[in-house]
Amino acid sequence: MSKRTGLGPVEEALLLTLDELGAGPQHPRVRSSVLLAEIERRFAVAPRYGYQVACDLAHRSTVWLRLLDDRGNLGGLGHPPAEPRYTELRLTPIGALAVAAERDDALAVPIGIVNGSVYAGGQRPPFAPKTLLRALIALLDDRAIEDEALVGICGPPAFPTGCDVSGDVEALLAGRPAVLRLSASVVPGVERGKEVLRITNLPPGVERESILRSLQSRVESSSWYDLPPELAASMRLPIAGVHDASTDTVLIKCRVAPGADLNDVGARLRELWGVYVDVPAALPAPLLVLLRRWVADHAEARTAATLRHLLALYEAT
Amino acid sequence: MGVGRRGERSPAALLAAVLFSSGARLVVVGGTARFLHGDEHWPYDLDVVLDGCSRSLGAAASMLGRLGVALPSNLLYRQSWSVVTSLGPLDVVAVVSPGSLPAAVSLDVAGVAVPVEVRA
Repeated sequence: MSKRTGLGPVEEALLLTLDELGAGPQHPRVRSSVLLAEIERRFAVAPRYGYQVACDLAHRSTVWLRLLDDRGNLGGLGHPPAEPRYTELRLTPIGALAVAAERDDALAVPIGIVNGSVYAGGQRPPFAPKTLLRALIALLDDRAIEDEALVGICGPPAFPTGCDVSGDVEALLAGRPAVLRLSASVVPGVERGKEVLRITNLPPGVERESILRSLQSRVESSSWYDLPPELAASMRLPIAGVHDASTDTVLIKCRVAPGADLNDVGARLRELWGVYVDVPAALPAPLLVLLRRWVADHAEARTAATLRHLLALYEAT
Repeated sequence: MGVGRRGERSPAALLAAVLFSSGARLVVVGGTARFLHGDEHWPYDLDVVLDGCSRSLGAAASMLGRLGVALPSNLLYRQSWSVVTSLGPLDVVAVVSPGSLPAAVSLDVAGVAVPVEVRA
């Protein structure tokens, strides 16, 4: 992992190669197939693996700090990406800042701490850029800041999909492995006089189709005639219908069956697999140690200004 | 008989009951087994040992199809495999020779007596 940015070697290879191909934020994008051929030639990174990482770095729902700007279908929301010859990539301003940091042309930036690695099957959870960067800036301003205040500014892990995070967060922040429960929002409402539950902010890695399939197989009218009656009843949820209203973000509407209690149905939906997932998570050290170590390793006269610049770039996207 | 109504709220326990009801011969092991024995920890997935007779495998494949999993036939005959169903992840930790499932007790999940490994 790079000490300057916290990025992995394949991520670094993608960014440096895009920069060398002239695909900076203000320049035309390059065809993904050209980029992948180049990283295979220079870094021996196989194109399929490289493409998966490139897609992750371009998705808003995958990483807080997007490093690649895409054109074409790079997948997401349960859809696979198009072939690399049909998509194009270039660096985002944050990607360009990461390249500059890697080349020692800019100060170090904690992109790896913000984005984490859960999105790529790892265990390091992400943190919201606003809070994590503000915690580092506060620490740069006052090295004697109390631990409690620092943790208060940084807050718990947060995922770009906006899902709720629960579980043993305290243990995680103390540096112990923990299981995090990531839950979608299940919000009650009324539409055209009928009670509905809106499911949004899915946990990362859960495909919209799998939730839809799961719900549709368990609506009130679903047929489980060959199961014992009590089991068949357990398989049926008190929902009369499911409607996928997703656009750029996931929105699934469940019409509550007449006579069913809205809160009870909401509670049952929250117990549905995919509406929640449990993920193992671990930080390489207690959060306070990570933050203080990062500052000790990288503090220079303009570090706080660099972090503010990174925050501004994030807020501009 | 065991946790009954509590078990039916767990997707993993429901998955075990549905598979067993369909004719798959199995024994629930791991976290779901501990949960059905009364542990508080909510199981993440369902771990089962599956009888490898063709009738059992066929029943499992058929029910998994209804739960949104298109199983390639060669996967069924592997010693272990994992799929994600609409009731959550399923880990078949072992497919054993016909008639050699581990010792189990029957615990109630939504009215179905599901075989669950004997608590150590």
